[in-house]
Amino acid sequence: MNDSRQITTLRAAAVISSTIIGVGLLSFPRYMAVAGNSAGPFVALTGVLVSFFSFWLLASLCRRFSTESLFVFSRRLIGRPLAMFFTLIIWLIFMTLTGLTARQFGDVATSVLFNKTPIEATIFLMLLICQLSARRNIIKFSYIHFFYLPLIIGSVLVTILISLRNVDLLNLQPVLTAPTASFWKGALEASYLFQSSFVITLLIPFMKLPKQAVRAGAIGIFVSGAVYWLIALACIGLFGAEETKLLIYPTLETARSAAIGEGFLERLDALFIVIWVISVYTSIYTTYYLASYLLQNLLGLRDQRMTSSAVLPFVFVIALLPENVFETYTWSLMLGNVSMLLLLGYPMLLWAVYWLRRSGKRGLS
Amino acid sequence: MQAWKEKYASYMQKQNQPSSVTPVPGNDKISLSLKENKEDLLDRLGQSGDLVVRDFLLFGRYEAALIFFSSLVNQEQIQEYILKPLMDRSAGHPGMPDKLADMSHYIWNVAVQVTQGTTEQDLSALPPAIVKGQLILLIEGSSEALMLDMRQIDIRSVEQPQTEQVIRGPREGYVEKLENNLSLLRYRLQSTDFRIEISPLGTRTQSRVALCYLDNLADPKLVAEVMRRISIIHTDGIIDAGYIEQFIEDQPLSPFPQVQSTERPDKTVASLLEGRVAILVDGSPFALIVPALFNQFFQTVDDYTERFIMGSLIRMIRLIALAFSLFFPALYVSVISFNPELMPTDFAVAISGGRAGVPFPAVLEVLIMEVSMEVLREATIRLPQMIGGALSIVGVLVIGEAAVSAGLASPITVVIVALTTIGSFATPAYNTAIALRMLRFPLVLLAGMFGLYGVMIGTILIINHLLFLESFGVPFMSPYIPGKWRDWKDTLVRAPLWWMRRRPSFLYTQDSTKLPDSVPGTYIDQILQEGGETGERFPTDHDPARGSRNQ
Amino acid sequence: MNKLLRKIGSVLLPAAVISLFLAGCWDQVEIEDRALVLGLSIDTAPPEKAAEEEQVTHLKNTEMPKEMISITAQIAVPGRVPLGPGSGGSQDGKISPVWVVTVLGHSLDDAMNNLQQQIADPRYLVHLRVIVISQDIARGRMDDLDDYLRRNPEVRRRTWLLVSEGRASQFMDVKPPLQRVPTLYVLSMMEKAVTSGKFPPDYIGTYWSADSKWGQSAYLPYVALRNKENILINGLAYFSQGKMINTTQPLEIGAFMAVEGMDPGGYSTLFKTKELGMVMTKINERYTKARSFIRDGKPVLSFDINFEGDLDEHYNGKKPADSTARLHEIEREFERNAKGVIGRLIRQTQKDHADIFGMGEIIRAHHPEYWRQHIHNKSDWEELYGSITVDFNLTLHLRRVGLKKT
Repeated sequence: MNDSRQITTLRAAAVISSTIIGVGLLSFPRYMAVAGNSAGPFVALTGVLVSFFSFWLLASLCRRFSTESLFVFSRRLIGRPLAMFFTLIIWLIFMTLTGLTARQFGDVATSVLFNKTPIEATIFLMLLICQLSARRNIIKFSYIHFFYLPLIIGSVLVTILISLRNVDLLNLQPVLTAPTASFWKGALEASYLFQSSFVITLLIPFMKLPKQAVRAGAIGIFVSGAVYWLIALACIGLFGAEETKLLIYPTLETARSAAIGEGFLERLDALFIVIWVISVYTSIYTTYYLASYLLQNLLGLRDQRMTSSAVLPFVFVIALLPENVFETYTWSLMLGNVSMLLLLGYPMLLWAVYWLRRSGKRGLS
Repeated sequence: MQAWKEKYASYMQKQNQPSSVTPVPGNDKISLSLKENKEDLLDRLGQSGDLVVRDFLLFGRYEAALIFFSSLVNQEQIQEYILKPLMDRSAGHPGMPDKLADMSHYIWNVAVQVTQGTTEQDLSALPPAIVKGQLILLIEGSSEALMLDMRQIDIRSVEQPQTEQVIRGPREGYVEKLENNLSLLRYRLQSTDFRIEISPLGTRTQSRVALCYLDNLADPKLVAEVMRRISIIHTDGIIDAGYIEQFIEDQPLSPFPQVQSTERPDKTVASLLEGRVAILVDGSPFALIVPALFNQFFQTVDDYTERFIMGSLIRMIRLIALAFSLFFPALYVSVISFNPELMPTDFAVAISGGRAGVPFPAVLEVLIMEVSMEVLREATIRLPQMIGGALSIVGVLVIGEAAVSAGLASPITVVIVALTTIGSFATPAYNTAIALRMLRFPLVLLAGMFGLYGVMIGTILIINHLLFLESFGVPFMSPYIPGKWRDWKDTLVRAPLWWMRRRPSFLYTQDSTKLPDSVPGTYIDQILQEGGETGERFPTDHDPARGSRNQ
Repeated sequence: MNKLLRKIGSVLLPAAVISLFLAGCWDQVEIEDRALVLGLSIDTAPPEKAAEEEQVTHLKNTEMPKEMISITAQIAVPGRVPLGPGSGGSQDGKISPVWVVTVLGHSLDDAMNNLQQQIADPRYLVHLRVIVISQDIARGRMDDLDDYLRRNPEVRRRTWLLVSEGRASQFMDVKPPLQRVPTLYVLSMMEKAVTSGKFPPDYIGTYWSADSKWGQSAYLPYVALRNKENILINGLAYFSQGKMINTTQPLEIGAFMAVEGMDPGGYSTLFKTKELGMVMTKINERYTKARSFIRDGKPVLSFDINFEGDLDEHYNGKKPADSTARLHEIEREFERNAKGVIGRLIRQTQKDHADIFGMGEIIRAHHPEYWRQHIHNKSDWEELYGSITVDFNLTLHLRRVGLKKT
């Protein structure tokens, strides 16, 4: 009844995909159109593959230590000080990621829904509900993601389906593009969105079948990848690549152009934003949870109840730091670069040490 | 209470050393020793508080015992027609046989004045007879037991339940007396596994509290947990089952009830059969059922007694009603004051006309109307039925109409408030309906502050709370989250009874099978064949299943 | 106990914070306190009018471009349109349900600000459904319009942008008997034209998309007013280099939709046949297959246009239209006729360098190599469009002749 290994593979996959589908949804097609013009969906697909590779590197390592989280076994592998150092960096990354995601959310809400509401109020409210729910244990954490995922995917799919009627196939041709520099840049940018699949390190010690962690991640990443891909497809197909590049939130414009029936239900954008609030909530929730969990780990506390409150003011301040919309985007791109390096480099380092130790042991015996 | 602690301790002890005494079913004869027989029988029946063993001297000479459930028999008649003649001095029985073997025949023929009864030599046949309300007479030195039918179900003033009316289904509700309620339960659940633990609770009231569960079915951990929670209650008085509910619930700060209370014995029995535990209190016409989940509060007896398609449709209607009562006012406020673009243009123009004279913002207008509606509801509950009806008509028609023409509210608001109220009455469980009705006020306030975003934040808070909540270790939102697919057969839709082969998995029952594997198959074959003439062949296809249902 | 207190505290604290928020309902504006702009018309104003402009967004002495625009807005007046069906019939015609305001400005936003200065309630464009611009504006300064409307999140992408013959402001004054609100009449007229195949679904969003595509030129509906009350869809106003350059005839909308293969077909064509007299056919379905080649370094496009239709009217004929052969005769006659219309339209747009058909997009999609070599911006293609070869084939199938046999 009170077994701690309760998270099924499917639920772990749900956590990963609902985490990934988040604030990036609105501007994603623009990046893809800039990178690949009409081949934007292809760029997105490449990005998904890239991010899956980095996920695989991490998850297959964690799978070998199925009873501990990354932050515990890394201490044994590379020594306490170094492991603490990396944990600190990862913590900083997720703090900043939480803050910037909240800020991007606030920007959209302010410019589309509320012109007069101070952005502080919108952001604070969002962070507050994250803080309230970050006090719970990981099992409950997975419940939340599992519950909201169908809502998120469902509403995005409905929007896509409605706009698919008006998609002009000419806008999507040529489908492929030569892998130029901008192509790879776009693919990397796409893969940044998938970085919060890092949450698997938290889940593995609680999974029923930790051996299936990679499979869970594969399902999660490909489900959310499919959603992103479809969004890029619908946007570029609907507007054409050139127009998509002009729009700051192409997905939102897709929702604005969609109508059910003739004027019966128009302006789906407000409704879309409302559902989008859920998807932003689930992804901020994950990064917030990670941040408070990591802080708890650094300080060696018993659980993250205390740290979840401690994190709140810092995240709030980070969210208010960028000066304007463009700065928010450059910052989050920079953050993406840094965390890409770290999330690729750190597991590689751990792998290397792991193999060295293993072969060393073998050599000894 | 001390008694409950002992019960809990002994129960735990028993659970920790399982299968120490497993009575072998079958042909064990009644032995000649009365003591042995009694122990054997008590072993089989388990520790039930209403089990009575009456030792006496038969005709003042032989040791004998009467065994029966006090809740099922008429004790006055036992006294008058059985105990009185049997305890008579032997002088009054000149023809009394010397051999004990013939004694039971003699008693049957001469002594007791009872219409129905048999003799029995098989000990294993006795427990089922006892739970059916028969009285067992065991005599020292006799290998025959006398079974006398003394069954009497007391149905004094058993009335239709006031809060849970059904269209189709039993019309009995609990009454205040515990024995009557227990007899209503035993009458529906004639199983030897059915256990009732009774002990007093409350230092001054000494109210008797009965814990009912099915042994060999309910999860022992669950039963133990319920006993533990009852055992730590320390209070001077338990007036009603509601008192116990507040002592044993998981999260007292939650607006949602985590214990189901019902007036219906049939509902209680159905829950027991699913592996839940029921708690009854002497003096209260309500039974508490734990664990109670979100799902249960939207189900009624009608869903099961009616055919499954109707049941499923009505459940969906109820869900829509729930959504009405929770979200409608908040959505209305946020559309009116924040996002008018969501309405079709001509409607928006017309609505702004309807609101043109109203002096308040939409939030205030809706809040005022909602609060007055709640006042009206509360007022009509306390009034006698005749006046109440009149008042509600006055309230709804006159006040609504007058408010519109006085310019206090726009006509659309009246429509919204009316829909909300009606929607909240469609939720079967009164306490859940109240919870949802109260939750819509914070939602309206949030809508007034942040529009649709506020409504969404409020919804997320409510849903998260529901997901975090547990009732006796079972997540409140099961079987939705977390859950197995097979449990979804009894959630938003209700699958046909013959398809629900298993008990709910989240209750961790010891025996999860409801029907044999073959049953759903035969029904599905029947559906697939679809012909009219197959109906004639149908009953022969699966006699066992059919046969047991007809009883 | 302490634990419980802390728990209660953790619930109360957010409640307290939320009640702080109660202090401000920042964006709350009741629907009846909003000035909902339903329709907007934009005209040019002569420079000398600048003297009349209010000094709202800039003072007189600042340097400003000479051109002025005048906008006329239709604002819904709460309470004039009765709630519910038909109850307010008596009010109709006496009081107008909308308030028509005219202001001047240098740019659209400037004018909107001037407008705001003159009305009490905050204006909202969330229900802006129709914008009418005059030909002068369309031929001159679409930049300002595009930018403001695209940037403003209140504007829908499904707003209709119409180009008017003559002054645009007169469209704001029509009082059609069919609808309570005049703009909504224009709106429903356009929407119904789309569903009955009279007009392509050319919302402002579609216009913008076409405008940004390199291989396509934008077009807008061209409307005219007849008898002061009736609105006529008078053709397409098409653009080249971001400026309106010419218009088509109403029948050429049908030709345009035929080349694009847009369903359903809505146009009927009246023509004179050699033997069968006057015939009118109605097109129900259009289907077009486009192919493209590069021949001698030049793109070549070829369209196969298929129609399905009915015989609608037939009079003054020597022969009855009562056999397959006769119907074929009519079909050939129609094809010859329609070919002329379509050919004329294509030649005209080529001459104007306005590729409203999006032929460039076909080339871009199918011949990316060629495209990358030759086309480096939008005007490259518009220049090239004038000289490409376009072939097309027409086929009409008449399926039914109505209830009369001959």
